[in-house]
Amino acid sequence: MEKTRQVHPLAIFPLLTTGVFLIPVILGLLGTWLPAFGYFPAIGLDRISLQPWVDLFNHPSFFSAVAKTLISGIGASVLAILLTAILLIGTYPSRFFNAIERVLAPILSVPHAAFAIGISYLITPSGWFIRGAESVFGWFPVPPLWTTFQDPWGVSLIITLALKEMPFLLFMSLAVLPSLNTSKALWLSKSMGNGARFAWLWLLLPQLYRQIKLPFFAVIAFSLTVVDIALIAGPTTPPTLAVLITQLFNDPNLLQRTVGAAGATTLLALVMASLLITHLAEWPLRELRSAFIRHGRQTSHWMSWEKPMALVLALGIGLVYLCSTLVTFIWSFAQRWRFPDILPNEFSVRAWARVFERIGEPFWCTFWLAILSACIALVLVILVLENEVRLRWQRGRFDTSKALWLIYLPLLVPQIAFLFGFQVALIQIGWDGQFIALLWSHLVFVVPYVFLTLSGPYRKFDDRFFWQALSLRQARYPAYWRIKFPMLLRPILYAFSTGFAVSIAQYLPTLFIGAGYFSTITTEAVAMSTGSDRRMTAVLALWQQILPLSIFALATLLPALRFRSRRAMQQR
Amino acid sequence: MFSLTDYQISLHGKVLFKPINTSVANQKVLAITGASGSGKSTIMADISGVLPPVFTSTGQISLNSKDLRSLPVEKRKVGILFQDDLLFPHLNVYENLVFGLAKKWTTAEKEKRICEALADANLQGYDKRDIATLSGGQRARISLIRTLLSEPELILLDEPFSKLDKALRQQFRQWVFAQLENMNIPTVLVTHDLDDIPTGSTVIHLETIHA
Repeated sequence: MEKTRQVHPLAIFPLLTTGVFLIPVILGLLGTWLPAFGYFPAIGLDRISLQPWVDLFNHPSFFSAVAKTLISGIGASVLAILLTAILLIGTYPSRFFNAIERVLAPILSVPHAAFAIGISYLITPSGWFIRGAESVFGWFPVPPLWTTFQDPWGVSLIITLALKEMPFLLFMSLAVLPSLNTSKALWLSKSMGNGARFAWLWLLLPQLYRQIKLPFFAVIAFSLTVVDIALIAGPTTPPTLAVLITQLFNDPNLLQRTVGAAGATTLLALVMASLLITHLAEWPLRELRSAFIRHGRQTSHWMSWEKPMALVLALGIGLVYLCSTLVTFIWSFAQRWRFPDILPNEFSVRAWARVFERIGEPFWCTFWLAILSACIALVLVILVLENEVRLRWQRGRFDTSKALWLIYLPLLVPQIAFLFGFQVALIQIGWDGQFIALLWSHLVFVVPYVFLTLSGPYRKFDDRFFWQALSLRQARYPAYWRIKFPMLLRPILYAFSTGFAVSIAQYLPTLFIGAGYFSTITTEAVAMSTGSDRRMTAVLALWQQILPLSIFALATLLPALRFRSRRAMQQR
Repeated sequence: MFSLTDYQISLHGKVLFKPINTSVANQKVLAITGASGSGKSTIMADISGVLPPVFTSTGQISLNSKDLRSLPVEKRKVGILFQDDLLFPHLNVYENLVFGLAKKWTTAEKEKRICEALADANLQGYDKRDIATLSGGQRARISLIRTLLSEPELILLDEPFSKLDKALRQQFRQWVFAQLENMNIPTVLVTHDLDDIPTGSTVIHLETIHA
């Protein structure tokens, strides 16, 4: 290789890419902290003061909102990881698990808002589940007076969140499962007289946890700060803190912005505190683990309840996802659907027609945002990964674990804690309400996910193929485009679809940075869901789901088609 | 003609082996042997142009009077064959073979050359086959043909026989060196199995220099 003293062109990309998703976070945090302490020149406040905090703590809903946030946020995260653990213990490794793996991609591609809407059609007192119970058991001649949805303590929120996050945790675990050597660990444990459950609880799960710690932190941060799902499934008056803050930010009285900023900062502090406590909790748990391993007390029964429970769980969750999509589909065509009928009495396409009229602009906005952010993110990430290849070759070894925290940063900082500040910064440079600013705000979240999805397979690529191609063809670009790129086509397309889906699901960025100029299918769906027209909401929720699903379908079909006669390129 | 003059590689200031001074004429083989870790594969990497910068390489490498060090990987015209055949999985046999063929040949000429090469290797009719359906021996043969078709001026063999089973090895070895003789280019072979070395080769044994 030429030894050159100049900076290699690839070397700027890590910096550029990091800047893309870090600058908004930093600017945003600063832009939110200042107003939180009273400094908001835009509305004439140019003195640091604690008034916003006073107003915040005096807000009638504040403390109850904090309580609900903590309950639902921590509850959902704990439930999600518990469900993941049970599923793994009970079904890994097995053919059933492989089947689960295959349906994960479509399940993950369901956008949050669409999922929450679907759940609402299932578990409300007049929802499908109750109707089913009435048809089968005759228990509910009239819808019961229970509050099964949007209940004041956030149980429905916890369930909805946990159901959405568990597939994500499962997906992140998939990559590390092979390295756990489960069969060996189980064998070892049994040879020492302890059961399989022992091996899982004290050997495998702790190892797994270490590897999926960052995704778990992202889940905690998400559960504590989500707005769209909380709007749909969470308690209403008073709502969770994130929703409360959004209301404050949209209050016609501009002074409330500072209170909102104080609230956002509080939420940031809550998230950081929760993450810290979770991190510190490892120490006592580790001691517990050592104690158990030393004393080795464990009954030797084979996993008595884990396997059946995991099976029931997996099937149950799959069923929920299926039913929620199905019932949304049915609602979109329902004209008249009385309780307790399982299917509507009258069908009509009126809702579809009405949505069709008004969906033109949000649809294209959603579509272009998603395609552009996925493409740009993909290009940036590939260039960063290629630079990594170059660096690994130069330095022999390359530790990428520190960089991982950086990638996760936009996923750990609450969206609401920095989007407001970012919007303020954009106003200063005149980009407020511009498409490019909206695109940038989406990129902040799309880039990390694309990186996380692509980096694993990309790093595993055997670079000798590239060197071989280079020595054969005597040119770099053909070596890359005709050999490396096609060999990585499946992971690349998959990463693209993931980026696309992430952009579709974004709610707050469009709300804040769009500044009212742009609306996407997601913002429309969430807005419509707080109204009472179920049919229109259903149609919008389906539109929201169709887009990522079709891209995922393409991403699966394209390589399958292209490599149909290449046995070595089939998916494992 | 390929030659190494006062050639030495060091890592972190420590030299890996004594300076090498040797040359290989066309149709001749230079065999480099030594224990694992003695630097054999590093030499190969250096000659083909992909020596990681943690290593320092001194001395001259010249191929047909060209100083190889001044050329980037893709311009060196050095072919390399690894233990793994590294056939491109997403291309069939024909596409793998045509990848190395120079642009100057027309499609008809390319087809002719490939068919002749396949016939020489007893693999006629295999051009449309998916490489995943080939046996280990067939893949190894295709891999060599692919490298030879790119018309290198020097060929490096990095333990290319070690993954083949014993029965196949002898046969494959003979075939490989017959092909190489036809090509009229020098060969550098790296191996730790002395049986792999054809008679009449120059042999260099790398002693690991212990600090």
